Amino acid sequence: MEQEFAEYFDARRDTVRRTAFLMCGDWHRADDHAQAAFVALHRHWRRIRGRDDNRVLDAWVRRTLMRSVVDESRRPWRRERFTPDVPDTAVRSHDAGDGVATRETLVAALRTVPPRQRAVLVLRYFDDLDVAATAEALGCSEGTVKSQTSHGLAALRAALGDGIDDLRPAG
Amino acid sequence: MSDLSDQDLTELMRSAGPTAPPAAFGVDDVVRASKRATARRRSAIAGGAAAAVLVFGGIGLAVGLPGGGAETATSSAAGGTPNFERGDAAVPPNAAAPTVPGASDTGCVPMQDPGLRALLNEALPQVATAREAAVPMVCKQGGGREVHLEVDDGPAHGVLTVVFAPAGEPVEDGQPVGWARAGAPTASGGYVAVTSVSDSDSGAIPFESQLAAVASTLAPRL
Repeated sequence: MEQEFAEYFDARRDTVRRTAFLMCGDWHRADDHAQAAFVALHRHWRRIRGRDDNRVLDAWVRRTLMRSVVDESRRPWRRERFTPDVPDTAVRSHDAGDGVATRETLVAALRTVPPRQRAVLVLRYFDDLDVAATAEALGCSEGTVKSQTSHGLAALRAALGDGIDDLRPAG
Repeated sequence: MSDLSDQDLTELMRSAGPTAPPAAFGVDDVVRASKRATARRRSAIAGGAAAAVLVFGGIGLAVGLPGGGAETATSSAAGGTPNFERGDAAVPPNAAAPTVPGASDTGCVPMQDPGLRALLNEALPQVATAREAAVPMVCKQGGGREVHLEVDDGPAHGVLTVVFAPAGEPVEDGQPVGWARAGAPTASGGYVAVTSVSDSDSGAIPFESQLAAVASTLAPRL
């Protein structure tokens, strides 16, 4: 069991961390959430491991991670405040620091999107899930995913404003 | 997005990955934490069963003794009217949250404490079958006990949280939109807070009218 778990962990840790980072915008908290998801997975490994199919495990980890991040944002003493504007500290340039600037701007803009809408955007555009898989990960209907996607994109677009042109990948 | 295609957005999000710092945890950390959590849960279940024996045994003994029924273990503080707050404004209502003086030690908080869950089930039977909400493990000074549940109350759904802070530990503050909380000092000198957070489109807060009663029921038992 431990060997199988270790192999799965090695293969998925970075992706889970990145998903968590896009959700919460902070690598320390992202590591906490990712670790919590893997700990929960290890505790239930025998029950949920799929036969020759990691998709079952991926879906379980994704669902646990999303609930962890979204629930944390709901907890009263950690509740996030949403600001209408992307912080001015985001740097936009086409110089050597382009990648960093792009990431900072995008993450800052994502932080202004409400948690469940943000979760939908991250799952659909980073994890490349379809509507059905996103609905399963978030425990909601496909209709909710579609409406949250629409609202989330609108919120992200509003947060980015004119910065969209600077963000569009070259080529 | 009209000015940023789906493909553009996918590429942008994936660009957030390459500069990730080294992970703060490895597989050994995960396995250790998993085994600790499993051991804690078994210990808590055993402790909860022992506590139940003591509680019910004590009730039986008290009933059997002359005048024993009037001698409850409830402290005067724990029997008081619980505090109640509701968050509809954008300003934290309880910046000066109560801090209970006393001894403290260091520990990790059981985020889904079975013993506390059992007490909550008695105080609010409607949540007895509620699913545990996923929460990250938290280690903080003084320890404590917590339960987090995904609850439905008619059309209202959300997360119900019970946090017991032992004597000497601060009660954590909150920022208030779409939640309500009742809290009360406990018999052991700690503080119990019962919080319900709305996840409904309507903003309805599950069990809002019952939070104070739940806090009052739990306080003498903690």
